[in-house]
Amino acid sequence: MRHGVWANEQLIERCRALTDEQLELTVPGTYGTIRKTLAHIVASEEGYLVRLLGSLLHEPPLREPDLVTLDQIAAHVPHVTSAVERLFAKGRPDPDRVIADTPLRRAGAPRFEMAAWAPATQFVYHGIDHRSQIDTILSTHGLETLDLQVWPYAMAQGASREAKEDR
Amino acid sequence: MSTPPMLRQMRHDVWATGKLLDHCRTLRPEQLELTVPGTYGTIRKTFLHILGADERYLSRFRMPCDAMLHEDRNADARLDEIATHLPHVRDGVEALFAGSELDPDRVIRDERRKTAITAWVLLTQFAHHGSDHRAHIGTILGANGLPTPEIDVWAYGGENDAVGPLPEPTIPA
Repeated sequence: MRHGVWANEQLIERCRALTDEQLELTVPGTYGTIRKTLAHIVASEEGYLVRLLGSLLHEPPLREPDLVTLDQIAAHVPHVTSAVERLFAKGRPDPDRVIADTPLRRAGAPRFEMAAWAPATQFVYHGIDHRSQIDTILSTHGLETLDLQVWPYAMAQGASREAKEDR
Repeated sequence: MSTPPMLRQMRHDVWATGKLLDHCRTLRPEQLELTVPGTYGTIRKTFLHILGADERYLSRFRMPCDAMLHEDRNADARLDEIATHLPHVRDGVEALFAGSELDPDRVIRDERRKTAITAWVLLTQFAHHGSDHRAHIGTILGANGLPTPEIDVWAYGGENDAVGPLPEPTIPA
């Protein structure tokens, strides 16, 4: 999950260098424009974390249409970061704990019951899926892309390195 | 003992690749050669890349694999042939977690590549890499007006009885 947060931060920083028109670029077969996809990633991640923590991250709760500008999207990344850390602050959460509802459910909307591992796993999968689409949009339009794989993240964390010969 | 979250992530990954493979096996050969700009390559070539990489990541843990997919040597492999490698990957993932608890902080030295890498990096990259390239295939299918299967964790959780709608509570009379 930390890799997902890191990748979002890197991608948002990259997208800050784009013009407003470039943020509205898309290609067929993807979620939508770059801006809309970033908003979808961050809003969904807040939603997964609200479900996992059982409480809102802030008042009023975030709804995807609220995120109109890149600055608004970026302003919610710290909420995601701190919620991820809170989730693990008291040790390893029980992945089999059954979550019966979410504080974000609107009145009258169906209720879903799920094991905690499901929204946690979806958090990771969902971000990768949509960041990949933004990468495709950037590349298709001849714009510079970023390497958001785990390799550069691990290098930055000192978890992957050239091996010393003398060991 | 609960299933380790990393194993859940990797199982979902293998399941999603299998679902997408099953879906794409219904395509015609010329459809398997479709691509769009900004993706890795054709649908068939992307599957070759996903499964070849999955086997390579597992091999770093010294997981046994008789004949690994090689993207150059197997460049012309048909989708059916590529799909035969999925059980190797599935078995490798299960074997990885079958023994004593896998230490994500264990350092794996690779003398040939002259690298030292912490186990969590390979495990996390395994899931990242598959999802990234399956997204490419999803884009290719969508851009060419072809249907895409549901391969997110909600669909996986539904198949495994881990996600489901609840009936509204009845109001006592």
